[in-house]
Amino acid sequence: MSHLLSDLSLAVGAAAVVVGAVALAATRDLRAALPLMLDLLLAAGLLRLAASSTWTAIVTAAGLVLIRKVVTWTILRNGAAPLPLHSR
Amino acid sequence: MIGTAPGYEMAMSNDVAVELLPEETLRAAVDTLVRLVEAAGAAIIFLGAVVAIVQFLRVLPRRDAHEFVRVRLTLGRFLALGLEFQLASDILSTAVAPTWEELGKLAAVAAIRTALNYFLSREIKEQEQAVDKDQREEPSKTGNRP
Repeated sequence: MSHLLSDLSLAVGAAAVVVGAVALAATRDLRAALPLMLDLLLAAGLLRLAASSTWTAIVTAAGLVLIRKVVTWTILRNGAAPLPLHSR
Repeated sequence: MIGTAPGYEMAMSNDVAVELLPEETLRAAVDTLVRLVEAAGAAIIFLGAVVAIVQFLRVLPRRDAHEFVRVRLTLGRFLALGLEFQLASDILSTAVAPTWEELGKLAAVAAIRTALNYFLSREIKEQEQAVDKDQREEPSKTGNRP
């Protein structure tokens, strides 16, 4: 099952990057596109965490998941600060 | 009235329990359940990602950043549900005596999932309130336009 979960995680991760790029191209708003991509990457990270069984894999997946959450949280908290690609 | 000693009755019931449910059978049954519940959690997370991508493709032509919040809300709900299932499988894993190594891994994964579930639920609540506020303000904004 872990091979299947790894493949699904990879597919969701690749889709996340594509969705993020398309959202950014469509809205030119990094604050809208980046959290969407990071949430999908979070889903990929959770699938990866379900597949992992070694300490290294657990720590890697956990680190990735936490970094993504912190970045999303920071972007949403600093909503007032304009980001370079934000269209105004 | 002739009674039996409580200790004797307990020993008899333990013997019957051991015969009916040996540890290997219990371990195998719990292992199957754990795999099933874990797979259900993973399936929900994957389904959430697919639903979110489809919803994203549907709202993309409008090029409205606010619509992406709804997509994230949908995905967040699926992720929270998937995490609940995975936490359930973690709890089930502790039903049969695990080794310290297994217990450590289980604790690490469960801690990550619990923390994520907490923050995800909080974020969903905040986003829902923001969306509700936007919906309430939208008619008044359009009414003020010249």
